[in-house]
Amino acid sequence: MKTSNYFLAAFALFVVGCSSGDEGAKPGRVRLMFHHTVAGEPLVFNAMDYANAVGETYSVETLEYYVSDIVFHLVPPAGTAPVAEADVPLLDVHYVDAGDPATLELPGLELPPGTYDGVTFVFGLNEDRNVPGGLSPTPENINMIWPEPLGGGYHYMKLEGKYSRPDSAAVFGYTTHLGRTMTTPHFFFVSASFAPLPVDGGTIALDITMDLAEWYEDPNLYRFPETPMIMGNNVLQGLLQENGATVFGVDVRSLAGFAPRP
Amino acid sequence: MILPMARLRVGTAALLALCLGLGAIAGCGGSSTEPSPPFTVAVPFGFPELPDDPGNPLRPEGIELGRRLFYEKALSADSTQACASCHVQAFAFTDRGRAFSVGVDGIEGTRSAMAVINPGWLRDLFWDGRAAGLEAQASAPVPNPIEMHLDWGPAVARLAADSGYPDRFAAVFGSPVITRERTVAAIAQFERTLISGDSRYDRFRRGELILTPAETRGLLLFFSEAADCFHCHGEPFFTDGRFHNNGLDSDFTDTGLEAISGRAVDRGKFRTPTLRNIAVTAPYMHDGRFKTLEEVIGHYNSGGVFSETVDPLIRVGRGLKLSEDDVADLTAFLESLTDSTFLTNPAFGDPFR
Repeated sequence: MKTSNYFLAAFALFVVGCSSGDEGAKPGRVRLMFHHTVAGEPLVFNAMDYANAVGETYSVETLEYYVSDIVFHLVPPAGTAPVAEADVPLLDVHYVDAGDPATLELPGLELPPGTYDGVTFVFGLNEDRNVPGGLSPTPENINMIWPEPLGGGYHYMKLEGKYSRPDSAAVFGYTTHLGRTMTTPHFFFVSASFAPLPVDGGTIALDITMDLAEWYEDPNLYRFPETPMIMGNNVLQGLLQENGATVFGVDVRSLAGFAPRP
Repeated sequence: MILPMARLRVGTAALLALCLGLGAIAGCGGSSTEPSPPFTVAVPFGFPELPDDPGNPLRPEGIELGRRLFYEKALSADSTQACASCHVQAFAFTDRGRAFSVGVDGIEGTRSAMAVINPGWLRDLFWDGRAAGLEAQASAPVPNPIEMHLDWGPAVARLAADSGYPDRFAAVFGSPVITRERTVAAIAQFERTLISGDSRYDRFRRGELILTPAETRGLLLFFSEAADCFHCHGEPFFTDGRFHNNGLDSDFTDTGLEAISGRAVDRGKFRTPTLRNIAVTAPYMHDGRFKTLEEVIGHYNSGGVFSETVDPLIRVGRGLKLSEDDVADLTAFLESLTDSTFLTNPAFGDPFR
């Protein structure tokens, strides 16, 4: 699999190198930023300000997750046949801690010259990566380990906070931890298309926005009091995986005059 | 081309930092001794590499000097206490079953002496995280009025007047000059070698033995959401190195991390202690309120008490619903984390005996 990926990457770079028809074409830079909202409003930690469709209020205290295998889709040069595999890798794995600004912006990722019209990434980790010891043993990755008795690998996401029933002032904790179960990997792809964007030097912005409310109600309503912890629950992991289809917003645009920080 | 260049820059920067760091610790006095090669620790199975500290690389002479200093009573006001007085090897470098240690002036502290286990991988030390790293941590107890109560000036003067030290400092730092920075650097080197990774559980992980049925049931509970120990006490260090309010109190006389960060959301949060060797480090919690592991598990099983900052992982109002057998199994598993090699290793013991 890895060999195959390397081959595809090399092939993509070859296509890119030939696509512009301009020997002097330069790589561009991608400024990747992560944003977090709840029902469209910027996330505010530690406030019981949010509610699901049945009036259960909740707060957010922790949000950590992985985005991986970000690739840009190359537009084939004019007069050539489409190449389905012509995805250009941008980034292997990125850990996001919504409370840590240092993880929310990658200002200078390199993208080969060419014309692109789409981007795809994995929420969580694919099966090749999601194995014990699959990520470098940084403190953050160690704390995302998914115990081997539960299937091994890593948490895709830790979303934690407190909730309250509509008819009670009592407050309880919830821990929405997404990842693999013993039977199902539960990672998923997020893709976005955009108008063809030529890259020849310069910087483009890739903004990924996670709307947390979408995890809990679209299309499947998640009831906090019923199952505040879900790690080993294959059904709920599957329902939240379905909800993941509307969780992410992706925006790509050229940043004229933007100079990335060194 | 990008990667090799990046590596070159990182390598050059690291070399520069190494030179600057060594220079800062070496200080003046000129080099008269060629430093010995760096010491490479044996990293236990399942552990990541020990993080480099370019400013204070491990060397055999530094580790040995640090051990002497760790056991050196001259670093306290009345020469009766060393670091090791409250951090006793047989108790995983905690204070012999005491909730609070007593300093040279007979004053009792307000928090339990933390175990010193695998500290080279940890950061934000002390119960409230006020020390970013080992050097900062090692610098604190000597002048602390309720601990060793000796200013660093007279402390290093005592070491300089002791014929056993200048040559040892020269062997480590290139000159016999003794400073606070060099003293804590040596202590930190020794502490980085205090590695525990040879418990029954570690041997099980290495395929060298089979856990008992009770230990195995406890393991499965530990790494399940039913008991949910692993989120804060995960492998390989059995601590997440983070700070949590684990539902001990609804009101706080000791506000923990909040006193350092100034953030109300940190009220009542304390550093997660490692569970390695936990069976020999009673009493438990930052204030030693629980005498046994069963009491600790009982606390989590009850769900604890609510406060605004209680961690979402704590089952306030719900509890864990563990049976008595579950508690016994969890206790058996926790006891399998005792590393007798660590507790008796002569390399960690008192060099003055």
